[in-house]
Amino acid sequence: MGHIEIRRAVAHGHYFEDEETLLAYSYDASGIEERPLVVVKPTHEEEIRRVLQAANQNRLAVVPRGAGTNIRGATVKESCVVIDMRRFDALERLDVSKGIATVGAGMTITRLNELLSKHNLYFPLVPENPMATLGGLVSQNHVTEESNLFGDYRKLVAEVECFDGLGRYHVLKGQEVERVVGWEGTMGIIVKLKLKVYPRNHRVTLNIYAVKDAAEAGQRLERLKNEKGVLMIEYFDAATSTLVGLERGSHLVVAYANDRGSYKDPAKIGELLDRRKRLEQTLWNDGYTLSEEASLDPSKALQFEQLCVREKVPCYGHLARGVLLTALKAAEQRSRVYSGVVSLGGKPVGKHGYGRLKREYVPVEVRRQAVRLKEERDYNHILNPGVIV
Amino acid sequence: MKMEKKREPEACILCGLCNGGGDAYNLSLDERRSPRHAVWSCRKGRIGPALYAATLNSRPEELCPVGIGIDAAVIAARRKMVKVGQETVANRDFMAKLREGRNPHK
Amino acid sequence: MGLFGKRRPRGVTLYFPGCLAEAKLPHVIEAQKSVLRDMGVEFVTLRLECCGYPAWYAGYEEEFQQAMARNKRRLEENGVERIITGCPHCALTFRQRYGIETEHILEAFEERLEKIRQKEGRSTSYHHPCFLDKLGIGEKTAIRILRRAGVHVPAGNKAAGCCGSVGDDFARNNPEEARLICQRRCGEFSEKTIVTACPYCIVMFQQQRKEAKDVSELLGE
Repeated sequence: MGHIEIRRAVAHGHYFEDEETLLAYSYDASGIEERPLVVVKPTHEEEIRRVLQAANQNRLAVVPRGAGTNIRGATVKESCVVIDMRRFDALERLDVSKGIATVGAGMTITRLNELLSKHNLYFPLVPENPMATLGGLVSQNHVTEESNLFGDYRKLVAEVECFDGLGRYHVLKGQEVERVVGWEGTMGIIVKLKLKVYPRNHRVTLNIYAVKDAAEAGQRLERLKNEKGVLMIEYFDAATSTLVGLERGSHLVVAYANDRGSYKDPAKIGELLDRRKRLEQTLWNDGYTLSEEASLDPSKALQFEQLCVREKVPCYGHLARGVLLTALKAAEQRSRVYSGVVSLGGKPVGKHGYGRLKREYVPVEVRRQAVRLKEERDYNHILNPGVIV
Repeated sequence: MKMEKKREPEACILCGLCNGGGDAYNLSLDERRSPRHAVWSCRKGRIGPALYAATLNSRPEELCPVGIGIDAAVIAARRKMVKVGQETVANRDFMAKLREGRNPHK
Repeated sequence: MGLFGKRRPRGVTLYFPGCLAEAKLPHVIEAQKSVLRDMGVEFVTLRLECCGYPAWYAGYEEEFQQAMARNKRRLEENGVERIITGCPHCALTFRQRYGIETEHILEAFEERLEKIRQKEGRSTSYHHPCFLDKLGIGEKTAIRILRRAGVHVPAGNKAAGCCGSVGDDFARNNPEEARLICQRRCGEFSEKTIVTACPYCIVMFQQQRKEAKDVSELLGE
């Protein structure tokens, strides 16, 4: 049986098929529940290689997993081999002068920033769920407010070490990292990353604009195009403005990594940015438990906001990057929101990937590219089948 | 004392934020020992030794964004376990002393 | 009125050490009583059973109810209307389950800060017991008390979180994991002495061969 070979592929104590483990890995944060065949928790790359070999020979699906915080169902699958990457969680090397941290895929950004803070450095893309691991975040290309200045993971990952679906080890540098960034574990299992890290020495100031709606906020974007050091451009509708402590009405908040903004009180700025970081959690507490996003041209932001108004859900997000966010109360709202976004020429992804929940919304060109890449890197389609393709 | 109303495990959204406060989980990185799994088990009505495998201190509840009463849920599940006669060996021996009115730590 | 015309006492404050302190930390009990007396707190001591916290948390509700009933009778007979205890688990149990006015000893100390004797030249690490957070007692309370006593707690040595015991609830069923959690916690302290405010934490740290003291022991030095 295939899983006997999986057992042989890993060290003693790294293989689990007991009832409790299989149940604990049968769910993630998506609401999907599917029981895996076995779970392995490797601590060495060689174990991953052998698992992939055995999985290919036996045509077993393999699902890499970090902390299980995925909300699109990309870390659960019936009868699969789950590779829990959490034990790859070391900060292996820190080159302070070059600003490069070499970390295991199982490390969380919270932990990374704790370690970096001793050197007055930080990694800027802090996700709303501090439990998420780097491997997962890179796989989703999880943008944050700070991406306005720093870009997304394609810019911040200098190097990736990973296995492809056939068990071949790759060290991807520069643009090559795009072979795994954003592919949600379908093109490779990320083992190690070299990340760009930054000195924590900039002062943050804000400009806060009261606006009528997302359209007016969008109009302001033009004026911000040539401004330097713009850390964040966030839109908040009336509801989310209240939740982050702004006055009544909608707002565009521009954060600068310099002295340019007119709001300079560090305590008040810190509080607002903290509330922004916890906004998703606040919405969950208020019953808006299904976080959603849309990648849209900023000129369509108003129509997206109107869609949110019709659905009685909030609208906020990284306006300049064209990633708008919302949170739904009921699962039946999903198809209306996804179709609405597609009809606006956008994609219902932006931070969390397609996963299994949005597979039917994967654009044709992305699907074609995925099929092509699978031929090169995973022709038995064992890596995360059902995600993207 | 924190006495705000807590939610039942059915309201858990499985975000995993509570796991940040799970000392047993963070030590072992074992999902079976995570606060989230304890809540999930309560939701499913599952009883077993896993209910004693997570550290029930205040931090998972503090980290929960939707206010699940994790301790109360796990204690309620443990009560069901005890009622059907499922005890851990350690608890059985400890409780024998308590029933006799003795100091169980002596 | 009692059976033979005697008046039942009223408004009595009980000092309750908790069964772990009774079993393993008699010097802590003495230190706590001594500091309370120095502060002018009047209290009685009584032979009670275990407050029942272990039974409550482990799911033995029937046993808990029985222990609580017996204890409540004793408390009533002796006119106890208030309890001071050095154990956060007992404090939570008395407050939440017995419904009796209860102070953890840190709260009693904080109310009487001006009576704390200063003695400079001491430096310790501080471990904040997790169950004090459940009582709404923050780390700042303990630090304020220690500072008032002239004790220095270096920054980064105020570790909040679990010693691995959880009032023995976790340690009893997972002794090896509890030991490892405690070992990890000990690694976060730089000072030779760890001061805390829970008998379960003290016992765990002592099992790791650390010098662990109750806050009252420092106040009484």
